[in-house]
Amino acid sequence: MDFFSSSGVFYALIAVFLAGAIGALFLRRKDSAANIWGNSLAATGSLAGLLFAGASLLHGSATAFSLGTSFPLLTLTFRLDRLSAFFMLTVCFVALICSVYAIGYVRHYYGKYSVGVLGFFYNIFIASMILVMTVHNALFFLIVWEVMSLASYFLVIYESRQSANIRAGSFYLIMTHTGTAFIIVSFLLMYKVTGSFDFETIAAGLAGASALMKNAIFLTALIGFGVKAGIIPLHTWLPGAHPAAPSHVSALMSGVMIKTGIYMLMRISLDILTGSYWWGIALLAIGAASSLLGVLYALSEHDLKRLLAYHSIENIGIILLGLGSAVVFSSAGMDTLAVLALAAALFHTLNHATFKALLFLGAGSVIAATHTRNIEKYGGLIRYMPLTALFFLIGAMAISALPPLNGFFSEWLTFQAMFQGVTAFGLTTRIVFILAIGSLAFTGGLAAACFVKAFGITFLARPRSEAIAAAREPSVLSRLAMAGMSAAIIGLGLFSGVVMRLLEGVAGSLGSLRGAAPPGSAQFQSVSIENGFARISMPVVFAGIAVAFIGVMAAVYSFTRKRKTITGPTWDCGTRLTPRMEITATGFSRSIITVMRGVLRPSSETEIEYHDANRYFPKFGTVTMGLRDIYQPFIYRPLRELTAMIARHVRKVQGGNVNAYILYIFLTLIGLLILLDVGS
Amino acid sequence: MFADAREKFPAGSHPANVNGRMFRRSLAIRLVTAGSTNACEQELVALGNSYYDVERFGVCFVASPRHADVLMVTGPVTRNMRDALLKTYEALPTPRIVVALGDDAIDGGLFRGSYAVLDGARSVIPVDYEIPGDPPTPTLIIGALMSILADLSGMQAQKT
Amino acid sequence: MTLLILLATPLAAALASLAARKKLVMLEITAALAALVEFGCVMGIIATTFSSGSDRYGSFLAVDSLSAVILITVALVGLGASFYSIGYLREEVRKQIIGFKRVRQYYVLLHLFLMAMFFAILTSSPIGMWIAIEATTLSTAFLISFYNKPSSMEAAWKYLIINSIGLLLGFFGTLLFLASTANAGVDQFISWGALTGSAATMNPMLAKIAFIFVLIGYGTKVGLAPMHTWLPDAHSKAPSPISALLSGSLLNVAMLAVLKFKIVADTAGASAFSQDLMIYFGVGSLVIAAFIILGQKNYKRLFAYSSIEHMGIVAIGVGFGGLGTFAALLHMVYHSLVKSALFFSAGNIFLKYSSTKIAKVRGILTTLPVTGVILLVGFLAITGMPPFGIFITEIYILSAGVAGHLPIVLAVLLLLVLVFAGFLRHIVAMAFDRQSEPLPAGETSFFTIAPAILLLAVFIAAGFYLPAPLERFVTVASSLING
Repeated sequence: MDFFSSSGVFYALIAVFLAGAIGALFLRRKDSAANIWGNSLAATGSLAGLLFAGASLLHGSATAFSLGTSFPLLTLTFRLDRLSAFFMLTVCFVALICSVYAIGYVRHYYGKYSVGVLGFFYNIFIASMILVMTVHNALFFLIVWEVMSLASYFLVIYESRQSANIRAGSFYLIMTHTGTAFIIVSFLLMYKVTGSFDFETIAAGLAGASALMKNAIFLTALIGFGVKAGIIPLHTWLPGAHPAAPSHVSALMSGVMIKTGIYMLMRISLDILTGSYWWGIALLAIGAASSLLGVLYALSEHDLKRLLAYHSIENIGIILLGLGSAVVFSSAGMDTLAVLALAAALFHTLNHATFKALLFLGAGSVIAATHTRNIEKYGGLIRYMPLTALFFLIGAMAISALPPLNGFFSEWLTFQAMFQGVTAFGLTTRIVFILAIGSLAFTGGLAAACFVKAFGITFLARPRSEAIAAAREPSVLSRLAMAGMSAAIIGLGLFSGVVMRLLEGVAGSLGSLRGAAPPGSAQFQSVSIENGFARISMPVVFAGIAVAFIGVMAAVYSFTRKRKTITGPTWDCGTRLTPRMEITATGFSRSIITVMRGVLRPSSETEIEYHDANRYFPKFGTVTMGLRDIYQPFIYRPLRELTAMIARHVRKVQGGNVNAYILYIFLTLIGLLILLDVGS
Repeated sequence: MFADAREKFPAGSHPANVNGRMFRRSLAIRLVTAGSTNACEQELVALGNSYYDVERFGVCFVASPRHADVLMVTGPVTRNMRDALLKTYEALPTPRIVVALGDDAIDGGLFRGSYAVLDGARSVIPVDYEIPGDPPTPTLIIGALMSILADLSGMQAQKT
Repeated sequence: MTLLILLATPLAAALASLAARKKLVMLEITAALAALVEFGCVMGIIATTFSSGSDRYGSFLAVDSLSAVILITVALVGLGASFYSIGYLREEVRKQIIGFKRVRQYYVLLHLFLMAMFFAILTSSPIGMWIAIEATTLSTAFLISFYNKPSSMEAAWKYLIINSIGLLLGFFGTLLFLASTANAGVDQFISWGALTGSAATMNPMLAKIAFIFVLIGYGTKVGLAPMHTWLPDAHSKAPSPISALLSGSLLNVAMLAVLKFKIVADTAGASAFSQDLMIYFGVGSLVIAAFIILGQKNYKRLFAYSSIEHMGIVAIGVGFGGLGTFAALLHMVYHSLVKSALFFSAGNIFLKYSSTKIAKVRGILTTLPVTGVILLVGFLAITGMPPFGIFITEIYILSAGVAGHLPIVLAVLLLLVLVFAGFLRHIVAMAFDRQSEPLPAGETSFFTIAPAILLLAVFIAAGFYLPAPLERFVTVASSLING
């Protein structure tokens, strides 16, 4: 055990990723070699990382090691406390599955795009995520953070022949770079107070800082890391960028990359600093808005991967609800409840990583088979890809928080944490918690509706386009990867009591929650909270559902056993049934969107082309339904226009007239001399 | 009034596979207009009004053959409607009963021998009952349906 | 002795080039040999300076840690530019844009330009430095107007006029400083050491006035706003190797003059004033550059404005002092390496597409695969993306200012983001979008690629591991500047 958590293993696994990256680049002339080299080394590294992080997590106390550099203030410090180990575990697990999947999946890029380049950035991407979760020096953190952003940028624009991807990538990079600027401000403020970039020293030095400074640090960090996490209204890059990447990368981006933002928010608000009340309220509000709006936007999507990307925003919102509750509890001194809420957030982080990755991998298989991301063109895929359909269904059930899968348990836990908030606080805070609970409940319902749509339209009914008939299951390795992830989802559901106990330990190891009593008992048999406030037993839920399922099946069988069944064609009123008659994704979700039109602002454009000038005889009509974007015109465009306006004015300086140029010099000279005179 | 009509027109014979308790004195009818002159339809529409009100006898018209007990055919069955009639017939759950309504549907009536028609429903599908008339009056139709019901239920026609 | 050889080599090369007849190869061999000898000399000087703290030849030529830093950049960029010139001019000759005489003129001027820069760094006399910098103006003016097009003539003309005026002011400032030595009773040859030694007795007010003149004067040459106006024209109209030399080394040489005078002024008690002044000019340059980069339509001008931006950052770093100065000096080294590589790639793009308009250049990654990668890496490096060195120096500069100048730090961060956004927009459009009429893919020649790769490789290596001499020089020089 100790061997696995030693620094040598860590350096070795980073070296494996680097070897994978560089080797893939060298093998770029031979696609299959680059694919196997890059992805198998990524899988090896992830597996090693899994062992390393698991050992560190069980090890209990934090391990730290560092390397010096020739640059001042910059030491390559790594520190694996339980929080880092937990997040690294998540990264490595998802990366392992995605890498195995990729060996089969990447084949369809052969000859079209350079597989070597993909392998290079893919390995760098995973390694940088691992580093982000483990480094303990702000300067080094910024470096690996930006490397991660850059690597993911190049993965987003990997299919570079589609200009939409390039645009999405550019927007992503600018957004994330702006976010990084905020993070830099946050770190610089820490440096201003403590004179150090080392997290350990910072945490110690910030204890006596003024409230204003702490608030400024938190706020800049919230914006900076919020961009990466995709909180609303800073999410606009996410639905464009995640779908553009190859699917196994989308799985990593949606499943774990956005969690790096969550990780740092946890680290800053509960470990480095001690959370104050309004931070928690702010996080709750952002969480509620992100979860609700995220799922509503997802409902209106008919691009399968964009839909999944919007669900990531929703789930980040749910995680933030847990984190916000934890901060509120922690600020009120209720550390036990804070541990409960944080454990809920951590659990949902892990769960979302698993089912979102599975869904993206499933979506990737579907897209590779059908060559389109538009779900209106799918249909009936269950007949051609039954296993993919099964895995996608498991993922969809988990993300819709249906028992007995893991998503159910973490959402239940989040609910319980917030119920505690309702009972523990006075009126104002109580109202906040009640609203948050309401939004989470609503989110859960809408998410289920959305995945009924996604699964139903994709896999059920009849094929809506001819390409479907050619669809085949992905390769064995890809299926194996998805099966592994499905097993993990079921396992996490069944063993959630055990995982919960582990996560309580993780939550309790954070700086401001250290030494808190556990919020109840978490066993495999059952999890109970706050002396019987709530109690759940996942094995019993499993057993209950299994019994009910088997019972119903048996009853149906016994009643219908003797009946004769005749199979005939569907009654079609004498016409010929075509896929156009099936319900569409747009139609399915339109009613909910119409109900929510105050928030979503749906748009509908009708275009009719006529045969004649008098417009009596329409040739054909098109109805386009969508949502009006409210973020671009109200937030981003004004900023862009302001910048452009200033730029126009500044450009006048460079007018091309030498006389004016010389005038500048002399004006500056005279101005400075006058200034000097006035100053003295 | 209806009793007279019923006696006047014994509409057909009891199909072999019909169990007496099956329909419980209620009939769900799917109508196929196989090239009708629309005369029969006019009379059928009248069945729904408040004067005749056929639903009080447990007879109703349904929108899908999947819901129907009875396939009612009007018109001499034009060539174009042949497939539709067949498809509808096949879509009916068994046991299915076919009623030809009006002279056209029985044997082609006025249009008999025309190259465009197939001379009645019998040439396409087996017909169990026939209701003659060109068109039959609503009274007559109701009477015939009553007798069909009675026949199916294995009861003697009640005198009222 | 190596100092003298360093100065004599370019002179000899210039004379040899002048004597060359008809054979292009002669010129090329001369240039390559000269560049290698110069580089070797500089390495020798560096070694001596590293072991003994300084290197000198008589009392006129001397190298200390500060000049050593600048010397490294000039030597590296000079080496790259000399070899790049070979590939670049060959292609121009092949396309029959220029003839042998023009090429000969080019090489002669190139050698003279290099010599002037080396002299400016090596001379221990402030007046000598002024003369040398003026000489660079003269030698480069003809290089800027090399293509004899109206626009390049105009650029050269503006360059001459504005720099002459600026340097005149600089000369006045120099004289003001020198006047103070008379009070201190120095009546021999006035070296930088003597000037600094006597500065303590100087009237602080006079020192401030003198520093204003020097900063505006040499600041014109450095490209600090609002005296930067000549720079975008000159750097974009010159042939690409010359652009690289202008951006990558001449700006540093001018900055060296500013820094040396800053040391003098600080000794005279004007250190707070000089720091504030550097910050103002730095922020001004950054503002102008950032906003103009955003809407730039010409890629060579884009890089030129980026040079203004980076000189601004260097000025800000020196203004912040402390770690900021350390970072600023390192930043100059990094910037010159990356910017030269970028100008080399710009030259390759120009050779291929025959246009410097961004809108005319599309799909570099397919037509020029190597140049495309150099461009992308250079872009990421120059905009301060990790894991490249410029990111670290920028963070150092910001962290040096955060204690005393928080609002300025925030503004600088914002402007850096703007620069990044502007660069990204242009570079991505050039690198990825597809050309409407595709050009045949393929690089021009080995000589147009290798120098850029070499400089980038040195830069990347120096960003991961700071070589001991460089670290020593930068540390010593920054403590000298910080006082």
